[in-house]
Amino acid sequence: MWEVVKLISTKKEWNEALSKRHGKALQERFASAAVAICGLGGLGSNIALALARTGIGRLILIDFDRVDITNLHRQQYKAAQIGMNKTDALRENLAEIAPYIEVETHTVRLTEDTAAEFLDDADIICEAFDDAECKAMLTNTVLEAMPDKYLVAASGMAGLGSANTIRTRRVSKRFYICGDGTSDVAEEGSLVASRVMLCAAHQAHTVLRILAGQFETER
Amino acid sequence: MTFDREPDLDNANVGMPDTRILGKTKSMKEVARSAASFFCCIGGVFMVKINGKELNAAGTTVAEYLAVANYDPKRIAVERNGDIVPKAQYGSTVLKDGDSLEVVSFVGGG
Repeated sequence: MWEVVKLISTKKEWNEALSKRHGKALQERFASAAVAICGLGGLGSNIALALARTGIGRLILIDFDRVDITNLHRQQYKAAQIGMNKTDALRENLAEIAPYIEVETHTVRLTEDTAAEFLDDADIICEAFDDAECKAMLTNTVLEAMPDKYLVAASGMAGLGSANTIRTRRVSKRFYICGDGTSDVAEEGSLVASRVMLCAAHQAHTVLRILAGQFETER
Repeated sequence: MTFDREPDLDNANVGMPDTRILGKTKSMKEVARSAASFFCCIGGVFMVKINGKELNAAGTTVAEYLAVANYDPKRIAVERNGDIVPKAQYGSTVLKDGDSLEVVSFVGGG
């Protein structure tokens, strides 16, 4: 499949198509950016697709888990990929969509002690875990140890609450958080593709706006 | 200090008329009320802005505030005046008059 895509469009043609859509200056910013995505579930897999389509030059994908049948209702994997590492499955899917971006994968469980070595090259880090304690761990680790990086985190996208309650908030200069802030999967009992995608889209869009120099007003 | 300065936690659940959520709202209000009465008792008139609301919490540590407000320390990140407060410094960081504290509390799902 990858070979077929290469035959029908060269990297130069691909870059020209993106520049035509986004403008040359903005596309150059996107192409020179490195974005890390921590967690490749409902949030991370959707963030990755949006950023790959936009032509972000380098994606650093991190997840220890494998694709499970219970993931497919909201995560960007296919039935035939059940059992694969999420990192490998997502790399495969991204290659079909955006064959010329650089994708780096790490099949590891991030901890406060190991995060820095995997996130060192990232300009912007997306927190896309599902566990609240993991979310807090990564947020504290990035803000404490990597003050030069931007962090785009997420909290609150479970259930069938209104789409309009999902929002982006700039907590401080380099820390953004997306979601409704309150709907916990432990209480709501479910996550649906549409609402998780809304939150993932907020995160991906925040990444693009940061790269474009369009910052939210704080709070 | 009066109750109109307590954290307005009701707004967090607007548009979610689920009984489980209403139950949660009530307990959140109780938490806020106990936090508010705690900070009324410590005296002084020095105000700290916490999640956008002015509270009479100057002189207390971040750890003391988090305990009274019933936050789970494993699910939060705390910023003071735009800078992260390292977890190891919650106990030694004393809130001062005019400080702005932001407690970000994470819920599960992703």
